[in-house]
Amino acid sequence: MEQSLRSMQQTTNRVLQVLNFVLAGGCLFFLIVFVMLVWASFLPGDSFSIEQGIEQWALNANLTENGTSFFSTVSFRHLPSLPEHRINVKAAFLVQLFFNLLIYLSLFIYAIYQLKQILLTMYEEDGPFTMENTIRLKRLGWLIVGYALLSDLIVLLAMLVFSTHTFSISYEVINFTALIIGAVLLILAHVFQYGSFLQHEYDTTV
Amino acid sequence: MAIIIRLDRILADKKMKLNDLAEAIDISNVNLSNLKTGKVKAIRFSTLEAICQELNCQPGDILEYLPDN
Repeated sequence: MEQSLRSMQQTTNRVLQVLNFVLAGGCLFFLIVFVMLVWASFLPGDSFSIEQGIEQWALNANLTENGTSFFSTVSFRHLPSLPEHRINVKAAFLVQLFFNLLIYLSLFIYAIYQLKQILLTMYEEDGPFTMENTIRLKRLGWLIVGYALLSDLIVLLAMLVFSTHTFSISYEVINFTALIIGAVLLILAHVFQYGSFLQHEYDTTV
Repeated sequence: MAIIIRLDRILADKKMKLNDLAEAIDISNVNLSNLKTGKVKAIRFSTLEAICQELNCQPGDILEYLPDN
């Protein structure tokens, strides 16, 4: 029993190291995107170009005169397939960076941080079944459900207001994969709630 | 609580310290202290059996029922 617990803690330790690495990478990428956003906001409109692909747009920003550029792809779900002259490319680029990447990255970093906190309770407390972890999972679940329902819609509306001024919507604004992940996390939070009740019963029995 | 733990009384009768009992029945001092002060919600039969064996007493000597009113 003790050996199995020790082996579990070793696995947790390895997972924690991976999570720390991913968290650091996420923060670094967030910083890069933020710097790009600030940099791109000061560039003139003709530094941006757009190219239509099969399922997405390719947005390109020329950062310096010697050809250094930064590009991002935007799905037709966010930026409808319109003639290029009807799209404000700079605004589309900034909206893509701010609403899509920054919101997505913030959520990603938050999720990884919460997972790390949950794993840390394996070390610092008697087990992961605590009310704090239940609340963490619930918060994460609702956040992902909110992301699934609203994120694409927010990006689409931001594109409408700042870039295209043309309203176009499809059923694909709901991210069903994220919705299912959120629902699974909420169910898991419910299981954790029962688990934390059982853990309390166990802890108060001698 | 309706069930009162009389461990302190029986320990005094047997002239035994809490630490010695904890060591004898292989249970942590903190847990036994929690049991003595009534901070726990349940006691395992195995723990009760070990205490009774060590103190040479009956479960009724350790647990006492007092109606709430």
